[in-house]
Amino acid sequence: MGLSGSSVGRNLLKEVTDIKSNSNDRKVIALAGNPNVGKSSLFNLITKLHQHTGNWPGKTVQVAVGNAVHNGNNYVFVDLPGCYSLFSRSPEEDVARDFIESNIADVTIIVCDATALERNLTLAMQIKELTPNVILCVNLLDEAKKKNISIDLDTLSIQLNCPVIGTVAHKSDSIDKIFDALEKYSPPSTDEKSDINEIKKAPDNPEAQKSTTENTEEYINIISQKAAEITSLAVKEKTENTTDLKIDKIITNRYLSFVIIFFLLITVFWITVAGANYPSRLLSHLFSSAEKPLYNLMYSLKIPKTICDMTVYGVYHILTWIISVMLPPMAIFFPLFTLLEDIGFLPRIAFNLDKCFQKCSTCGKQALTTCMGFGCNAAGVIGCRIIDTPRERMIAILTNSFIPCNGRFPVIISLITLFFISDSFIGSSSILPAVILALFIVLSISASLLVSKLLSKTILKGLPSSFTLELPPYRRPQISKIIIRSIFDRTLFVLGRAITVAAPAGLIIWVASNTTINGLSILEHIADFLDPLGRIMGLDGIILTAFILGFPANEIVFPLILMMYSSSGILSETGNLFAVKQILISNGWTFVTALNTIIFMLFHWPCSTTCLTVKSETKSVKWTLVAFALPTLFGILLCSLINLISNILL
Amino acid sequence: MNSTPLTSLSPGESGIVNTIDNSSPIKTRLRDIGFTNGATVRCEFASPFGDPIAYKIKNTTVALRKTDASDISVIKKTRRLIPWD
Repeated sequence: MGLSGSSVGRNLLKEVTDIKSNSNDRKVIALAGNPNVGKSSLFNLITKLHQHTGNWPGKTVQVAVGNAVHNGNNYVFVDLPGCYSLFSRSPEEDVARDFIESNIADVTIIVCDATALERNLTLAMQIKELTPNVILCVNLLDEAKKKNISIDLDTLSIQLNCPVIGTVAHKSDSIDKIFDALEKYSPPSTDEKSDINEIKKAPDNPEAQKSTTENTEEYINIISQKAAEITSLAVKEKTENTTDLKIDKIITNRYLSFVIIFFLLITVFWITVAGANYPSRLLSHLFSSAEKPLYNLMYSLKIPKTICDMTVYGVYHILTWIISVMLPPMAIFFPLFTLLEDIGFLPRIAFNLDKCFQKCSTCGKQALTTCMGFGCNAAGVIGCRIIDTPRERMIAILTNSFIPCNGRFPVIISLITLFFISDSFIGSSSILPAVILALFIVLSISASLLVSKLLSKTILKGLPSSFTLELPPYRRPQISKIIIRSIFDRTLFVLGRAITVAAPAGLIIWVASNTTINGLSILEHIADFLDPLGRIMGLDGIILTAFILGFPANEIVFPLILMMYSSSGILSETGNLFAVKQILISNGWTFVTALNTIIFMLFHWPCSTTCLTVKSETKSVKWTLVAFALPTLFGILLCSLINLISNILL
Repeated sequence: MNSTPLTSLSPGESGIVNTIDNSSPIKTRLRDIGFTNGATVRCEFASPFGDPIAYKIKNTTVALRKTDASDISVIKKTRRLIPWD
């Protein structure tokens, strides 16, 4: 699977060793701690390098490294993956333990959650066993205050025998405190041995491992007892703050929960689709107004006409088309999604829907990657990193493209408006299209669950694995950070991948539609060739050809269909819906054609960006092909079935 | 005192962690996230389908599927801890 612990760990060690050997005056500082304690936020503040952090336990699987200068001192900060323990042998824990054990860091800062100090101390004490040079950083003091928890940092420092500082993750004076502590830090003089028996690392030999299991358990018991003792000395909690519990009781209520999830998703879609409309048009207008001058410029540089045509009407046209239809919805959807993530709402969705996924032998967190797929399948596939077990992560990756993304919604909505409701309704703000759309969404979710179940019964056989899901406290979102992070980490990343494929695709589409052999363009030849298959599926050759050419972005499939029907050779805006319907009907479209086009829009190969992402996440061509073939076969079969039934009935 | 599976606690009820069954595939994981011997655990709320269930352990809220929670045995506390529940 994508990130194997050893590979990341080793590369990291090598990188840091190189940094150390290159410059002696630089201090290496490691940040370690439980997941979701604000470690990555501190790291971002210190290094000003924007690394993605989310209110989701276990998000940081990759290791980030960043530089910082303070009072003339140079530091290299390493943000280790969040983990609960150093002995459970998960990839994250292996990375963290290997790094700490190598003692390459001059100081390890153990970041703790002030609201759950006892559990955090267990890890802190394990780390102290491996390296003497530690500073304890009690973070999220503001949240602790809200929960009526007060912490005596001096007592903690005496009990643990190491410097202790208290911080609030998003306050900049926290950074000064950290640097002050680092400057004042001197390694402990006496090489004192701890009274806890030393069990450093479970051996790789399974036989030997068995025998150490009991020791490890005893060790964990001793450590957790000690952590409980220290906590009772240093932490005072007055009355329990039950606000979170009250909110949770509403959100997880048997009846309300589904209403809340449903309306939230609808709201997010509505804001995305409605909000993207205007900026999309603006962008498209800007790009198209630059088309003519660009062409003239190239022509004046004595570049051959064919090359000019290819570059401007092929590459430039498709590229800018894709940017203007993809960028605005993503720039709206991702911040909204990150907002829900930051508040702490998403883990509750996973909690509420887990049972459905448990029935399909998959992980409840797949509910989240599914939600993400509605925005962008590529982002959904990356999101699958939050799933711990490889088998379940693979199922989530393979079934993500069964969920229609942003790019597919507009076509589906147009076709519903044109063929599913009577003409008199078109343009009126009827609720009917929304209901039909909701039915298609339910269909796609059911299909993804069904295929997940099939996969876990066949090629990815296994029992539903155990999972523990931490429900983090609700947190006030930091809007500016959300926007920066979601734009840079998600939007631009996905757009970048889309662009790398869109440019060559634009060229191919132009060449295919403008090169004629025996009086027909290459596109028409392809369409003729695909026609028999298309007919079986209740479609036609042109629709299938458009789907194939729409590989870089689903948004261009519908414009491509219209382009080929009107044989214009250049993509253009779809404009008037009535005119579009006339074109389609004169080319033999019926209700069944529209239905099958929607079905195939829901279930066909993932777009090129998603395929590239599956490849980079699974590191396997084979699984990428499976991700490609699964929805395609599903779509072909379903369309053929619908066509068969309609032929018998009609 | 008799020990019962964690799943026998209803929302609002608390218990003290006694043992974790050796057959549990995530025994160490459960220990790591706080289910250590002697720790107090409180059942918070169930999901709409009744499974998984959220528990409060060492001041954090953790959701467990019933199959996993039934591997943890606890000694029930008699007193209810949430007055408004």
